[in-house]
Amino acid sequence: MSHPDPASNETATDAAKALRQAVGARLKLWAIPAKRQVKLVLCLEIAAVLCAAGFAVGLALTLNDVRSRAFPVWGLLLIATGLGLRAGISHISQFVTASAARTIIEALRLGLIDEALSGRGLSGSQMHRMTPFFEHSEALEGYYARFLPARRASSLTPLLVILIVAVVSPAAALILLFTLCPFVTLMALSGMATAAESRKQLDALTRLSALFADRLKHLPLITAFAQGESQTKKVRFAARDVSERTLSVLRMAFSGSAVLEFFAAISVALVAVYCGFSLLGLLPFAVPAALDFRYDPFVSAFIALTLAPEVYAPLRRLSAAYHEEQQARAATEALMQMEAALETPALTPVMLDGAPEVQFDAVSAAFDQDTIFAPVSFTTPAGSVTALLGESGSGKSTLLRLLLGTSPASGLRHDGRITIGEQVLTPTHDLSSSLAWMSQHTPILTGTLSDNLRLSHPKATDAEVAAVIDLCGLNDLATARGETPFNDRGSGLSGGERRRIGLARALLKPAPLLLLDEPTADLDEAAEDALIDALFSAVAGRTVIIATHSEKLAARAAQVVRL
Amino acid sequence: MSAFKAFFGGVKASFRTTLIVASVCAAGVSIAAVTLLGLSGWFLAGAAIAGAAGGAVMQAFNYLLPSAAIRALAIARTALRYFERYLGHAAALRALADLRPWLFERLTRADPKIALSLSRGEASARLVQDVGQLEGALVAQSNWASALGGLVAAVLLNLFLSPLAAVICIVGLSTLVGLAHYRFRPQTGAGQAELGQLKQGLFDTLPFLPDIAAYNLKGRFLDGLRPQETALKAARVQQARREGVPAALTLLIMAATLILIVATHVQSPMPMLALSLLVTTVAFECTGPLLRAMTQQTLFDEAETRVAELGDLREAAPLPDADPVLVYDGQVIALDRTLRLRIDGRSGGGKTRLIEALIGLRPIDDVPYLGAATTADARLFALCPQDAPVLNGTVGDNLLMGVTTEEIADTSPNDLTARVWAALEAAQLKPRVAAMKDGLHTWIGDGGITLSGGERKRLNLARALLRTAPILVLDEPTEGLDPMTETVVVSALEAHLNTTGQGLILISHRTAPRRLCSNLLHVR
Repeated sequence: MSHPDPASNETATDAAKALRQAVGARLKLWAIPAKRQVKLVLCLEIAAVLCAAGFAVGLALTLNDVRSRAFPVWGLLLIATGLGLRAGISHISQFVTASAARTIIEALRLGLIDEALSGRGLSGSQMHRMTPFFEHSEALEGYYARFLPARRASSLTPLLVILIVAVVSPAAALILLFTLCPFVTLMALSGMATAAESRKQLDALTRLSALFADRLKHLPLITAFAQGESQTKKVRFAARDVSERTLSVLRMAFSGSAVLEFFAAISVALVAVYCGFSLLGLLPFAVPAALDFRYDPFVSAFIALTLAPEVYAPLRRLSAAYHEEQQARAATEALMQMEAALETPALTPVMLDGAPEVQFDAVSAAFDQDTIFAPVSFTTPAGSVTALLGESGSGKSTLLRLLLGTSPASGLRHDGRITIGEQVLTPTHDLSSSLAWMSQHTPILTGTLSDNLRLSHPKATDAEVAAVIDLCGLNDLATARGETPFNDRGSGLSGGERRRIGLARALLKPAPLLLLDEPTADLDEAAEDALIDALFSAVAGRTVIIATHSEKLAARAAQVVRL
Repeated sequence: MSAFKAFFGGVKASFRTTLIVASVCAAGVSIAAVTLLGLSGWFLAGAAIAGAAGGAVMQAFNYLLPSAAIRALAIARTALRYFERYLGHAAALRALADLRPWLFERLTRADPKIALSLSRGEASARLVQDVGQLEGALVAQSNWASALGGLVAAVLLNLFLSPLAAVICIVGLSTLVGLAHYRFRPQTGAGQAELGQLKQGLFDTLPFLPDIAAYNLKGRFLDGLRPQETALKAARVQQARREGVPAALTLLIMAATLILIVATHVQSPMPMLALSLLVTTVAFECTGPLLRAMTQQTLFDEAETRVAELGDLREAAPLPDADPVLVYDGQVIALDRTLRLRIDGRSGGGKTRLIEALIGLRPIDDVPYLGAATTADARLFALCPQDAPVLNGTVGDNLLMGVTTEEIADTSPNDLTARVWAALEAAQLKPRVAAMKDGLHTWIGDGGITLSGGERKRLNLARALLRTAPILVLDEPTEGLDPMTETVVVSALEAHLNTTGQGLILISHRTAPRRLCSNLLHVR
């Protein structure tokens, strides 16, 4: 099994680079809602470093007092306050980073849901596209809550610690700075080397995931052809391949973390040896006065030693959160694709006055490469009823949805010409103010029956509401329920009642164009008959197109179109 | 013992030595870190005193040994860290590379009725994410060693100060680990319920998209989802706050321990006190990874439970040896090579469901009027399914599914290729594949060439024709083909049936293929 070679020429590299930059920019953009928290976290990091310094000073003073046999009151007090405050700060910053991350995810997700509910990018059969949406958006938490704060901290706090050490011992500070510089250079170099390698590994992992998902999706096919064994072999091969690739990337990553460990250890060792020999007066070279200990030599030396490990602490946190960045980047790529697919173009509202004639001229629809239905042509005269008949999956619903508007970015497109009245419909046209829709799923929201009916036409008068209630045979329900509100699941409503509500709602809106998507599906015969009667008694003066399986319903239409 | 436990136990056992070495290295890193800082502190303090005293004291102060030890420890810490991380991850990765295919194999062998009812997303989440969690759990095993190494080194070095200091150090560290383990163990999965509700809320809303567009209801539905998102946020932040407790606790207990050591040792030699305080500090820091892993323990356990469920699915029952029959509404039809049956019925009436039951993809009692005596056995049939599925892979990968492993072993590669091309020709797909740059090796599906609906249908037909099972099952084989192609395909099918002597079950709303059948079964 060979996968198509990821194009290895330069354009591909450039494209990958551009994509990485776009992902980085997007991650930054999403972070805007949590700007204040981010600043606060940075302040907390600085405060934590000051506490660490307090602790170091406390430790040094304590030992100095013990050396002269005094009880170290001040030293212990500093230790207690330094550590106590640091504990508080660590708890608060944990809370703040978490709430910052959640604020970002919340804003991002509600924004995307907002787009999705515009309906243009998504239609029934493409809804599975939303399935990984939650996993991807949740994958950003580790990035914003752990990786990003660690990265910000690691670009600031090491230098701050060195600055504090410089106050007591400039020479020790210089030693720390000199170990940090080669470390940063080395990490940057090895980072560049691993980046390419780890992208390859990430690709392999993505392929493995895709292979699993694909083979699981086709488990029925694999079962039907009794191919379990040979497919397992393929999966095993791919899994081993990924684990070996991962290991070779990790080998590099771990040499990175070993380098980190080495510099962290060596900085402590160098500071200890320098300070020790300096205290003994055995240094083989003379330290310029400007660089010598600023306060009591022992206290200064001890402060420098205790703070030395702090220089590398945020870098260590950063390397622990490394994989969270990778996950977040992969998730961001997927979310960006989703964003693009859900994007709604700027819309031009179209108002219809009076029932329009609707003309389909060689209209076909496709989703990506897949044809949904072959070209069809028909004309629905103004004020008449047309029924669309066809097998399930023949594209009846999609045809109706074309009138609600499509979005080219979503992959759904149509060829041919749709004319409403005089207007030729384009993807940016928005007919929604002039059409009413009824489907087999009638949304019921919290509220009374009339609240629910008025969703389509909030300005409807009581008399108009009463009229549609009567027309759709909802009188019994209206009497039984009175002003008792429904809950948002519409509990206690029968399937037939729900559909009647849907029909009444559609009729209440003074829309000249009425679209019905399988209005009688799953209804028993009696309920279907009742609904059909109500329907045909109420649609006079509107242009109606009905997608349906029901021959009974089709028989009463002025025109039947088979897909 | 469950199959999963046995397998996972075996895998872990084969990597046990590596994992133990990784743990030893982890302990070594902690010991080196603790000793390094302790020794440095002692050296500094000793140097300060000796330097101040001057003369003979200074001459007697052995500075060479400590300074050499400090450098050696720095290097040991580096090397041990590398081996700890590499060995731990290597063992975990290799162990898990065996686990995933094993789980997949279990799925293919499990009773299809259960395996197929697991929703796809669910099963792939278990195979990918939950197994990934198990990998994390294996790597995290060395955290105990790391904490323990720090504790042992700190206690031993504290003995240089006094046994009392060692005891205080032990008490402090075990209080921390104990408290974190018993009092502050966070309930993981916080927010899972809220996330589930939000998901459900969105998926319940999606079918209403046209209504939302027609009546401008977007705001109403967003208002319904917003509180769920807020509840999720609150739950997750609460969880993060709980996870932060051990880190804060570490610092507080460390402060208490240090102060206690100082307070009880004011009269002791200062360099020993410096040693004691610094080693205790580092020992507390060494518990960090362990405490973090503890907060994830529940997560690991839950992942293991979910994976175990997948591994322990019931295996398919062995099939009876009787002559295969199809029993529908009292009518008994022999499933043999003479069969030429067309299944008819209204759209949505369950024709496809009937053949799925025959193949064993759904329970017999899922289909009304289908008799319990019906043989459900995939080996009897060569299926061309209605939805025309295509595996992500090459054209050849897809077609060779129709050929059994034994046949592949018994046939020369040239003959096999000839058979594949013949099937493609019968299905009227030969010119299309021949025109592809890589021919049979062309990648189709994700990341490759996209086939049209009609091409996918014909690829599925070719795959079914390659299979030598007694009965060909064709579900809408010519749907989406133009009448010309359809005529040719039907003739090719007729020729194929005559050559191979296979039986046929056909579902077709198009009339052209119907002439291949002599009997009719009407489903209700």
